[in-house]
Amino acid sequence: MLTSKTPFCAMYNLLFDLFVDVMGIIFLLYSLSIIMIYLTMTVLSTLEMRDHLKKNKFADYKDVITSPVAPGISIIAPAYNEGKNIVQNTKSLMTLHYSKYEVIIVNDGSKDDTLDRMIESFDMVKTNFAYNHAIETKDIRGIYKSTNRSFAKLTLIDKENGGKADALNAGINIAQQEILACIDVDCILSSDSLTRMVRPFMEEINRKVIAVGGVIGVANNCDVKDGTVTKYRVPDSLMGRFQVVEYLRAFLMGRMAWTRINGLMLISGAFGLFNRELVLKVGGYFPKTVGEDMELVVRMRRYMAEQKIPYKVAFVPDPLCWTEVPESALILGRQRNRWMRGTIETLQLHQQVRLNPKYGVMGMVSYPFWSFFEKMAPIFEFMGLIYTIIMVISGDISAVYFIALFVLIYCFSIMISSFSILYEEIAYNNYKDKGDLKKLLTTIMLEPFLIHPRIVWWGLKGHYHFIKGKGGWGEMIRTGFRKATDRQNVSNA
Amino acid sequence: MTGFTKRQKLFAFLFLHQLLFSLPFGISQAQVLHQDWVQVDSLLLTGQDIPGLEFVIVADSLFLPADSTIVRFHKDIAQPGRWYSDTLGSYVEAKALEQHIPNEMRDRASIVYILFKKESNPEALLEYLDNLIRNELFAPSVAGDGGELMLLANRTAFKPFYQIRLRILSDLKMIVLLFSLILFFLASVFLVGFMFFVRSKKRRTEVMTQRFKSLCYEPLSNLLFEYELDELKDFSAQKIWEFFPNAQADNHLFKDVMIQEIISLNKNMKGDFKSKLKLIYRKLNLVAHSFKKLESSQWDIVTTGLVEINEMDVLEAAPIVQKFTHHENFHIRSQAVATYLNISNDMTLQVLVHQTFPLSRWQQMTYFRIIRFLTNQGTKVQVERLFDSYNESVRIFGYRIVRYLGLVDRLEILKEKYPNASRDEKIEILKCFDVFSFTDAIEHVHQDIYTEDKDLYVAAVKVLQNIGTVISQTILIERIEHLVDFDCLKATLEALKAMNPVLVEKELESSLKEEIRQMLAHLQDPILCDV
Amino acid sequence: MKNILVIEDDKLISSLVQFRLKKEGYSVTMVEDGISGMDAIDTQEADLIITDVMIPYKNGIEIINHARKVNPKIPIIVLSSLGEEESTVMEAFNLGVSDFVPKPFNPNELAVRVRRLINN
Repeated sequence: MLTSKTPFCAMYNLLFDLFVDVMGIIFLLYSLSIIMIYLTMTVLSTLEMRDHLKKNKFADYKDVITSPVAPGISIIAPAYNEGKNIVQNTKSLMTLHYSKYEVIIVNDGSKDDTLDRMIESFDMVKTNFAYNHAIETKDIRGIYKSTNRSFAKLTLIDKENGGKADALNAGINIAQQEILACIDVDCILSSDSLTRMVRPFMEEINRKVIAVGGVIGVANNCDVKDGTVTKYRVPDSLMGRFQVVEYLRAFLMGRMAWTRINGLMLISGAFGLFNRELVLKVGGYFPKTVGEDMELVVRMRRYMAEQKIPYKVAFVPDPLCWTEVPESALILGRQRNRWMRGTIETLQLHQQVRLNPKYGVMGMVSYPFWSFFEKMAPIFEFMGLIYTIIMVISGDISAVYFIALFVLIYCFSIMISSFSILYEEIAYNNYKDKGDLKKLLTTIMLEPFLIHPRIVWWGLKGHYHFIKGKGGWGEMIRTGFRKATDRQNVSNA
Repeated sequence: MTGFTKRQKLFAFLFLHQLLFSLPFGISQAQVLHQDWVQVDSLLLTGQDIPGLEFVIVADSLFLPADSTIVRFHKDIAQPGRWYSDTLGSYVEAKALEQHIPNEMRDRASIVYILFKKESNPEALLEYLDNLIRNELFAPSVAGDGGELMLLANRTAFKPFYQIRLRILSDLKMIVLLFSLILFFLASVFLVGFMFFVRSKKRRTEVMTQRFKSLCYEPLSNLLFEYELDELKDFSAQKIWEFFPNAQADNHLFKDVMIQEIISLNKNMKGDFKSKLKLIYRKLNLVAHSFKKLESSQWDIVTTGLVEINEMDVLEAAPIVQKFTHHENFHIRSQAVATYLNISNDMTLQVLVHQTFPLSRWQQMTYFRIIRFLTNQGTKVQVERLFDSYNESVRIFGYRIVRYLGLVDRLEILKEKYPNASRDEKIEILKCFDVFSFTDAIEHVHQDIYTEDKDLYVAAVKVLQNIGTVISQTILIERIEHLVDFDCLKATLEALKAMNPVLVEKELESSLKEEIRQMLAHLQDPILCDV
Repeated sequence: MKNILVIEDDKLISSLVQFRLKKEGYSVTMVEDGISGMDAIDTQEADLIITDVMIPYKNGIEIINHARKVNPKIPIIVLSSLGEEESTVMEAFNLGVSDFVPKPFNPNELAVRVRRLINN
């Protein structure tokens, strides 16, 4: 009691108390804004979904298949060590219901027999294809075409290994059609995926549609026959189930809401359509970042804003594409780490966008949201946890208050997750089995305790790896692209 | 000890109301003292140390037994029969000692207050305590554990600002937390309720639709396969309804399902089945149901109505449909224009010519399907009217139709339009020239071969590939020198190669440009040529 | 009784075909997608197959190929909304399908074609 009366200690106390208070307020406001934002998103996505379902009633997608008015599409699928499945996957790409399209498989220097299998199965031969180096890439070893006319729409590029973005760039260079469909080769595409995805390009009249994103579904444990999901089942592992919920949440709620306000900044690398001319104008994918899918969309948006052309990034919520998600913690951890780094890198590269009214919704809403919530979330959550633990240990009663806050957030996350499952049920009703629904609901309850902390941890690791690894191209990370077209000045090699 | 103060404050902001009450409490205590002596007594009983105040018990004419328990009393030498106790620091102690005096003598004993070593009366003591409290030299404690802490908080006179700030912060936090809680609960209740409502509504509709479908299907098939068109014509509405024994003729959903079934059958069937279906639709007066939909304020219902009118060829609806052809809603507008094209019998396509909104490709797809259908029926559609529209996208659509439907006789008009056309139109017209190898247009194409515009250039070169003359070859050979763009160069070489392979060999085989050699190799590759 | 296999994802069309063909005295098996279609070809001893070329999970061409493998002589009718000039339809003709009926179609006409093919 005596010590506390000395001026120094009073000062110290004052600062400490102030710190505790301010931190408390910050966490509270942060949580509150998350709640507000997600509530808004729920409303926005509901409106968007309602409109979409209504629109679908009047769309005759069969007409798109044969209409001469429909644009041509170049499907680009990079393959790295896919020998086991490449032939089957290519075959299903070749049987999509669409008349004017080509399939470009890019063998990104695989170490297995990917190339040989392709050559053998599709009677391919090396050609003297004159190759346009519009975007710089690693060396092309050969471009193959089939001698069998049935496979006329197939092209195979064999190149030195340079990563996914580099492989996509090689494909973009030889693509002939108006629209690019960039996909993961191991994705399962529904046969009407192209007709549905191409619709926003055909429909918009006042704005130019620069890209269209699709929903990615979780294929684990589903019955897949000849490239289509025939029976939906939730995965066996909690890790897998969690991702089902997470994907529904991200696609059906998140991206739908962003589309509503035309603020979509990320199109999943597993399935996205782009306007080819525009992709070439901005210089294609940027192979130096691990978040190439997000970075390209942001750069394209920037370009349009800088050219002052009204534009739109669209999104089609129909279930059209499925992928196997990693169920092992190790691989999932790496993926999340990479996603986090990709996000940070993209945001760093495009700092000019931040709170810049010139970039419209992207500058004023999407970018701040991404930097504050997507990027900083693990850091905030981690600090909040430490804060609470310290309070609990020191026997501070206001810890109760923080625990209450955590309970609030927990309830909220459960609500949002169950909401997205309801959403799925109303819109598609793919998981028909009652048991599946129960499993998903259990997953929702457990997720915040068993999975979320790991996601936060992987996100933190992503931050750490970003800071550690930024030396390689530090200068650029610091300044970012001053203009969207600046990417052309950066050598890929 | 530092933790103590911090804890005290956090304690305070957590139990905000306590803090709020603790300040006024001190003040009210001071005011009450004037009126109530009992309060002083109870205050003294709390055992707090009040500076300068001591107590002595005085007993008159006391006969004390020679009991050892009262050894702390002394005889007063000046006044016999009077006893004094020791000076006691605590009121509680004094009270305890008083209890030791035997009962029968207790009323002759009393506690005397000693203020600064002098005897004092209760009034003076009251005054003194009042002063102490008012000047915050002494704070009466509150019963209970936290009392001392609360007093300390009050006594820290050097921190009033801090206390106010703390209160505001705590207030704010509390408000924000409460606000978010309320918001959260309201929103979640609302959202979940809404979702369940939508879900159950949707379920119900689905179940009903399925039921109605199964009700419709058999009777419709029977009507279609068992009766000839002429027989159906003689049936009354009553008689047709009889085929649907469980029909709910007044139910909107039933009518909707029925119309849907008729439309999809109509889409997939041919010949007099179509007429039979339309007849049933009319006889059952479902047409009124379709018309009603046009009055709705929801765009999807209006559009559904238009679709039904379109599919069932309700010709008399044309004037109403026309009203929707400039609607600002994309879907209503598209469907209205399509329906109008189909039912209006207007071969001059005025509804398209006067469109003010740009035509999207989606709309073009729909309209083209109808125009193709009309043309296949043998109707003479005046596509050339579209070329005169003020709307560029409509003009372009016109040129496209020429190409898609192979309307070779319109090429002359295109040739006339070409010189004054916009860049996008030119590209579209060039494609027409290309598809039909329209040699008459060669002069126009030559004019644009010097353009800087890549797309226009490539389109022009492609035409020359088919219709080029010796002059074209010379121009292109000359152009090659100046071309930088890969696609332009490739198109040029391809055209030249097609027109005059010998010339290409002579002029370019020895070219030093790596790019040109690559392209020539490409053009000679048999597999690539085949594709 | 002759058995006819109908592979068609549009329920309305398939039940229409079924309704009409049952009147002709055939037994009709309906399946809605390519995979069950393949199974039906293996397990059912159909005397004639009516199939669309665009059906879920399978390309119609694969179905025709498979049916030809199981029974090289079985008559196959392609019922499709694609035009005759479409590459898929051309390919189907190359595989030797017996007949092509474009949608929209006349069920009576289809019934006549079925009878002719089965009687041959």
